[in-house]
Amino acid sequence: MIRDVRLALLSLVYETRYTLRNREAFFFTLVFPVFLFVLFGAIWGRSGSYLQLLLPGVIGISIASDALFSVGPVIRRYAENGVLKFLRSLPPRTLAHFGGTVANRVLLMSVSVVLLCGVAAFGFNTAITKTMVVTYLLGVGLGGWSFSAIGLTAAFASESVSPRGILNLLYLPMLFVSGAFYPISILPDSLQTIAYLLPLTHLVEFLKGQNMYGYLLVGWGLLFTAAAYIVFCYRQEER
Amino acid sequence: MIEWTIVLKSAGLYLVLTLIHELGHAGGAALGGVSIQNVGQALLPVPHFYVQVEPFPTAAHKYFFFLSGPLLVILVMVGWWAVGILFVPSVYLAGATRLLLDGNPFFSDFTKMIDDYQYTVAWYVHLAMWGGLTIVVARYCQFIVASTGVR
Repeated sequence: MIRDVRLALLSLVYETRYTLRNREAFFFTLVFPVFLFVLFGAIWGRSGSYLQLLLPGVIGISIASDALFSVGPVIRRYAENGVLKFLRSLPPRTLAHFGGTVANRVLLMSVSVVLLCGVAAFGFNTAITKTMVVTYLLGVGLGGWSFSAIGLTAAFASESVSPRGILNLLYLPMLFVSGAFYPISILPDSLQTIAYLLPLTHLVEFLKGQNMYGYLLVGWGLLFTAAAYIVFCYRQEER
Repeated sequence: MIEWTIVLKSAGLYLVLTLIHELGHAGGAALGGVSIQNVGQALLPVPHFYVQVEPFPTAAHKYFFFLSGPLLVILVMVGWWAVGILFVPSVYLAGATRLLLDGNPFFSDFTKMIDDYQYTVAWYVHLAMWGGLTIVVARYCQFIVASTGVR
């Protein structure tokens, strides 16, 4: 058990160093959310109410994209190039290794949330309350879990199609109707109905303080954790 | 509510500008004497049209090929400005969207034109300039909307 915790911590340190040294990972994890917030805030943020909508929106899409693209495709690559098999042959549990990976994403997304709140508060005079910060950090956990499970399921769903391709097809339509950048109420009724069925809308609404959507996120998490387990086991048997 | 007819008109014009952009690449390849291997569309990583050519003989051929698409779009937009239709909301929206997509630092011809360009210091400068241009273009769009009364 102690060995597993130590490995998870070592994995956390290694993954964090890797993310900070990898220029692409660094940009998309820490710079891009701030860039998006500044861009949209500078264009439409003259009214304070828009910034109150934008901040949870940007946090929501950052959590979703991070979880979708940095867990499923990575584990599938590990499965394809034999790293997973190698990790299984080592005495510590494979789960301990991935525990570090997940902790790294949670840590960096939390840092990103704090950065965004800082930019919103000091750059745009947005009122940030403690409740908002707690909700955002809770959103990192809940959203991170449910979207990682969705990403894992999608990554192993097809052997022939690239996981990033499938995830882009899932993510981009959700991005435009989730209400992250504008209120859902301006969309046509049919699109609004679709929007409220999608997990990204649930995450963004939860971050806006609609706690009911947290239960829906738990539902997505449970559903796709089960789906990811089934698809993963099926693919492993195939190999 | 958004005026959806404006959005639909813009989408149509945007498609026309996209085809003009690809035509610019094809023209650039033909003028530079580079053979075109394929013209088509792809869904991944994001839906887009493309012109595929044989390997470029020199760096100048490469730059000319990649710049010819955005330059032809700019030329068409100058033409629209000359005949006085550039600031019609649907035309401006389509033109601005195409211009911003052509110059974006993430997935545009610029990223293919220069090797190992992304996430360098020069690329961050490009990102900041593109962000600034986006803000100016979007604010002017708000000004047009306010002055014409179209939403």
